[in-house]
Amino acid sequence: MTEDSGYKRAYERQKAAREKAEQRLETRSRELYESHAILSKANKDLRTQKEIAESATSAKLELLATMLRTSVADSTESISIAMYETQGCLVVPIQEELSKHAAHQIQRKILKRIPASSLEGVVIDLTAVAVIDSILWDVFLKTTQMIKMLGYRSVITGLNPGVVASIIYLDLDIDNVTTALQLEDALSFLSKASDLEITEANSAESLEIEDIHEAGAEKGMNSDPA
Amino acid sequence: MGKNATRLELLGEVDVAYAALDAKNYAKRIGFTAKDQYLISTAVSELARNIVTYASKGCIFLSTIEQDFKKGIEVVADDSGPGIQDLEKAMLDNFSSRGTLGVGLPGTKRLMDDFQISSSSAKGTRITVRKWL
Repeated sequence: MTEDSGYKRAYERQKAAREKAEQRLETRSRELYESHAILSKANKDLRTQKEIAESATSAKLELLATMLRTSVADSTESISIAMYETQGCLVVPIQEELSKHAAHQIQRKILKRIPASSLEGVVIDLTAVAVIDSILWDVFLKTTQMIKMLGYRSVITGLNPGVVASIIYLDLDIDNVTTALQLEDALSFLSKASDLEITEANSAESLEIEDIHEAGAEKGMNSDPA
Repeated sequence: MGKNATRLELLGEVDVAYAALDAKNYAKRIGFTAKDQYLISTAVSELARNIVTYASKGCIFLSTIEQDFKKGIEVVADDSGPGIQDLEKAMLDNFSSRGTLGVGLPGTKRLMDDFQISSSSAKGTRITVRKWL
């Protein structure tokens, strides 16, 4: 009996201990399960963040690439230029520093526009251009000559004293170009162009007569000693 | 080379205008008059255009120089291009071997106070110009 009850007590103790252990194991595994859930959630969050970051980076790269492409396209393809007509004249304001290619593009755009409009003349306004070197001046000079061949007068305006000094020191051609200080001067010059043409024609005629007289006088002088 | 040197890289046509504008701002900081700023920037534009036309790339150094209580700007245009074959000819007005107006070098000389040039087919071309306040 004592042996039996001793055995039973031992069994009870063992059972209690096993139950306790099982309970502990259960709590522990629940804790583990919970921490695992937290970790996997954190992991998932991190992965989403990583994905967001990656897509943002690729978007950024794409944007950069697009920007680069468009800027390259801008520099080689097209330059935006806002030409407008006022008082019967086509005004071409040059807004920024130009490369040679950009200047040539502007030249093409002006020449394309001219035949489509009926004009008194063309004004190229260089007020916003800080530096004009020999090549740029040459492009604009040739542009005015081309406009002349299309039958129109043209005036270059907005040359500041510094640019003028540079043009003179560089010894660039200034004989075949009409310039004016301001846009208004250019416009009034071009609108009076038809009046001027008559007076110029008259003066040209009188010059011719004078030339003939002078030539005659020279001949006379030359023939005298002989 | 003087103090506060700035290096302007020239890789293509587009850089010419930027170099000229940078030179204008640099000259302004030294204290040049508005007119001189234009002359200096035009000279830099000519030098830069020469580099892009003949050597396709190179660089320009701007620096501040002082001598006998005088202050000024030094512009060094450096390229490792084919070099200028006949320097005397290149300094003549209206001489050009490649479709430019041929006013670049003599014109630049007139825009500035001092002008030095050295060129060889092995080392390329180095042009140094100075203007004093």
